[in-house]
Amino acid sequence: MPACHDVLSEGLSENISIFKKLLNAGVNADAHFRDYMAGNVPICVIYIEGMASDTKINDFVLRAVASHSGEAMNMNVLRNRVLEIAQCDEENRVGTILRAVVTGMTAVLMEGSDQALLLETRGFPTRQVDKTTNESVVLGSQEGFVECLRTNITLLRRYVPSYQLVTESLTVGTAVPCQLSLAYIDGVTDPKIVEELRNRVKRIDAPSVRSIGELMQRIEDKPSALLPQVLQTERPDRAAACLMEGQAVLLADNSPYALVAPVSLFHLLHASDDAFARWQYGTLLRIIRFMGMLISVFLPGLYIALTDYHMHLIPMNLLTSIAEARSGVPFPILVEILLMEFSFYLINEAGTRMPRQIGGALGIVGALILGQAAVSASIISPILIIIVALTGLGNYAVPDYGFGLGLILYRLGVILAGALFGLYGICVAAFCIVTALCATKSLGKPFLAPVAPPRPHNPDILLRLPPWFQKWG
Amino acid sequence: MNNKLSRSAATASAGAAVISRLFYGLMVDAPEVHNGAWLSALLGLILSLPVLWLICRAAKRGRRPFLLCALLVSSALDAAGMLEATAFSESCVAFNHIPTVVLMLPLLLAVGRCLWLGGDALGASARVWMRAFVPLMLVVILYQWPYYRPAWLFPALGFGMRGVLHGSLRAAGWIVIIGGAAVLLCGERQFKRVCGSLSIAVAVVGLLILLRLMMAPVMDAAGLGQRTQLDALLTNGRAPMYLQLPMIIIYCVGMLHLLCFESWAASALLQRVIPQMSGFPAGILTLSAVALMALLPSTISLDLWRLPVMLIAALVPFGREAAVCDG
Amino acid sequence: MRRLALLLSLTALLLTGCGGTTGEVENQAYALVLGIDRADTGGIELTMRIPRIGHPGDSNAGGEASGSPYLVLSAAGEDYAQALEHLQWAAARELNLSHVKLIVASEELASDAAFPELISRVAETRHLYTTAGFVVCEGRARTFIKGQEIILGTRLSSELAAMFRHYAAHGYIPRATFADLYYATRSCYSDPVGIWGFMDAGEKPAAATITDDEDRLNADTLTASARQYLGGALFREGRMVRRLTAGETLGLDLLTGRVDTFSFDVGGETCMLSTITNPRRQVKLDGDRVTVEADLRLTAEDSSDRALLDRAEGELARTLEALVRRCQTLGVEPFGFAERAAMHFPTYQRWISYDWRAHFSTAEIIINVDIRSSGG
Repeated sequence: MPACHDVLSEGLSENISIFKKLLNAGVNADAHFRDYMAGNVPICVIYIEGMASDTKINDFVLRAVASHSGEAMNMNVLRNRVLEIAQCDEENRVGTILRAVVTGMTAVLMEGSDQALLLETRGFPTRQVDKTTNESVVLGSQEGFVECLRTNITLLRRYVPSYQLVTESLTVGTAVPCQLSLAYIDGVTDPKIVEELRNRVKRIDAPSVRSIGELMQRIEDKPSALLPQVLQTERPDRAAACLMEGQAVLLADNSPYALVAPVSLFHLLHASDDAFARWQYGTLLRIIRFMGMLISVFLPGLYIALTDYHMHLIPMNLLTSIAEARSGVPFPILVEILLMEFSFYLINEAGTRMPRQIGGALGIVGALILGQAAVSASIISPILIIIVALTGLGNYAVPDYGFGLGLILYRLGVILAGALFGLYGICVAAFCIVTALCATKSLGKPFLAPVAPPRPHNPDILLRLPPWFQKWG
Repeated sequence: MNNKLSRSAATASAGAAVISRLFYGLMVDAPEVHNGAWLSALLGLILSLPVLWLICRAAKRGRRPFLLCALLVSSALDAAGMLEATAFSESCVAFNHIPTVVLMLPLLLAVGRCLWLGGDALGASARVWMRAFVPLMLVVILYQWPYYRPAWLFPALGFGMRGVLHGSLRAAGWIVIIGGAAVLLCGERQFKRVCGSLSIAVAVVGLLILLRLMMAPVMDAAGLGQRTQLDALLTNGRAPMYLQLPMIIIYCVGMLHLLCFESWAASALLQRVIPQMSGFPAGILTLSAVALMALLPSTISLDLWRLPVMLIAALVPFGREAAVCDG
Repeated sequence: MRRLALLLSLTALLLTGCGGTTGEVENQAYALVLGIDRADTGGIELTMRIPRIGHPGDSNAGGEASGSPYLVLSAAGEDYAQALEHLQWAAARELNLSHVKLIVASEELASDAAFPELISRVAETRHLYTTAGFVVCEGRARTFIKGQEIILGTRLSSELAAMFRHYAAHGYIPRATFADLYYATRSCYSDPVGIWGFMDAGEKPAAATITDDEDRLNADTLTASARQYLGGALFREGRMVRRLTAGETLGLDLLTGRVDTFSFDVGGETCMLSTITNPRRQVKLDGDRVTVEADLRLTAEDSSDRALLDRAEGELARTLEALVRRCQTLGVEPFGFAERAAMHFPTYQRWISYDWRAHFSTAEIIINVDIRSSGG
């Protein structure tokens, strides 16, 4: 049985039979082997239907070969004088040729040559560059990454039209390879960061890496941590801004996201709006997001702690309102909160999975029927709806989706801590969370830098100073 | 569990720990000092700096094992004391129906977590805490501003100079424990920076003490119990109730930093004393020792403030002789 | 090993029994007003006013046939602790004392020798969580608390706070909190005062209560509530020694810098005066000779008649001096001069041995009043 690590021989029929066996030619209807003559030398064009563009093969390969006349044909002549196609590489390793063919390239084999020509003929259908779905902004670019790696690289190059931008090609996955592109700005990005990221990708020893999310978890410093240590963005302008700040960007084929590393907690709170809007408003937005993050994590826990253990901290007017609101509710406050949290995220999840045609009804179901009915039936108190609503809003104010998911888990911990030990428990929980964040690293860099440990930095962490104070790199 | 401490972690941790230790020790644990507490804090710093310098010198001359042992035992004992004190404080706030032993469990979990994460994480956390501490404290001060009575700062020496000196010796001992551990763990070259951080911390403590003294007057001897002092700290019938929220946060998180730093320092010093011991057993041993000592009756535990001063005073001449013998 | 440590940690957390809550927020009895009386049997009687917590719509401000929104409970015991325990039983709920807005003690009990000890017991029980006002009432505290009505607001807690703030700003009552009483009783500085409360029968008040040469209010004045707060109660070493009239209370508030605006009658003409700054109080010690001095700076809101203002200055200074001398006679010092005198002493023991009370009773008093016209 031929193997992927074999190399080509000079016999055309031998080479063809190798590829036919590996591509399961008799069974696999997509794999095509077009025999042709280049002058008086037999050649074979191998491609996968649907992945390669028939038009390009017809126009730039077959027609070019057919219209050639003159000098004797060999591989050099074919490559340099006959074929009218931009990207044309020579390769003799069977595995590399196979990988190129299955991704849409065309291989041309020639009798008497142990090299194959790999031609860029990709023509598979891809999604058009469109608006982002998960990172909407009011002010700013509306383009988002798509599933095609080449398009994504092109988008990055448009936003960073600098000769210093380098896009290295990497592959990950031993059985089913996935194409990656490591982008960085030479002279701006620390070479150690690039080296570290490259090494981490190369160290991945998995048969396949199915998505960029899985890739992210494989290259993170601490995959067991609740918060992501790598930023995932679907915005090319955001990725470009990160490149210009000295970070490295990783793109993967079939994933409309880019990974940016190293990042800090503060990067996960930044959005593109901040740079597009005036610096005062950008600062305000960041502060609002930061407060939203704190509310999201601590508000329900604080509510339990204050109502169960520290009633004296609640003004009497509010306390009697809370007590009156709760007077018909049969559950303890902890159960009430957990029920509401569960319901909120159930509605959330259902809304995401529901078909679009009936998705609109979910808002009415969730808000009106469940919420109002639950209050009328005295299953929950009205004040808790406000608490959970504020918590949800705070959660969604955070731009990074992975970060928001991590906050949910922290919130559950804080709720339990508040229910068990009141404010004391919340203080201990908060201390443990902050200390864990301080111990977290992103590509070896502290996650809470430049606050802790202190580092010289761009004045663009929580407060955003005017653009003329921002530094390059 | 690493036993190293970077410079920024050492200065932040030591500063945060000293603020909590001195404030608790002088305002809650030694209320007989009362009006003179701020003076005790300042004198304590002045007394401690030469001792810290001697520690540094002795460490450079190679008498590290003895110094490490002295500070290790002191840190562990003080951590045990602070564990019990924090749990007791919480029982005064709202948990008087829960046994103090049970209240220690979350603290032990937090300490165990910090031992696992390391000194640099703790130091970074202390730095974050210092940033949050300032606005919280400003909120408390601004809201309590109309209720401060500067006249209650007098008589300035409280119950007398004897009490002030007694308090300053205790303060010096606490600063030596925390500062000495920080210096030894982050390197003797950082001595000046650590001392600078300790000085700032003592200045902050002095200010906090003055503010606290202006909230409630000195009372007769029967009113000097720990519970009364904690009540006067948190609620004194004058400040609005909702101010308890930032005050509880400031107190609890401050004590957590102190407790975790001392426990981590004890564990790290243990690893330095016994280099073959790895981080995990050192951490378990330290945690168990701290928990056990916290559960023992207080009559058994040593009077800590005398211990490091005595040990170091004994060791310095010994260190000089050893250097002479080594040539 | 790590898994074992994690398992032990989680088990430890769960074994704590969920911390043990003190009861859900809607199942507690929040005392708003606490009354302390001498019981008929000679012990202590406690009375509490507690809001009823029910479904929204049950609470109403009028106390009609559907039931008053507040419950008044009383219980007696041999001492304070026993009375509190009996009250826990009477309330049939967990009693929560952290929101007490007002503590009312009867005049009889406040004048008792055991009252200082009782103050400490009450303070330790409640942890001084609230800034509860302190009132000494004429008659029984239980009668005073019963029938306490909400006049303008919807809740008693905010009603009381607003009323006391208003009265204190105009000098009708002293700014007296229970915490001040507790701390002043246990410390070595000035003596505390309480608010004086009495019950108006709804008709013309009895002459003995408010008609006085120094009183500022007309005896025909009627308020909407039968529970009146006017004047103060002087304490020495934790026991009440005398009631302060409305005029004396105003004088006390002026000397301690706690009044903003007040009216002052000068030979039939009334001027509206406001304080510009806090009074400057000084104490000079020259051996056994003590001089206490107070400088007040006021502004006249509605008059620029210099002659009138000069007369007002003299009248006010004399009134204040008379008040201070009266307190000297009683051996009580509620003006804050003790805090100033303590500055001259380095230690608490030297200050105590100085016996400020004895020296104050023979001190020379100098009061300077400066009134300016606001019109310039």
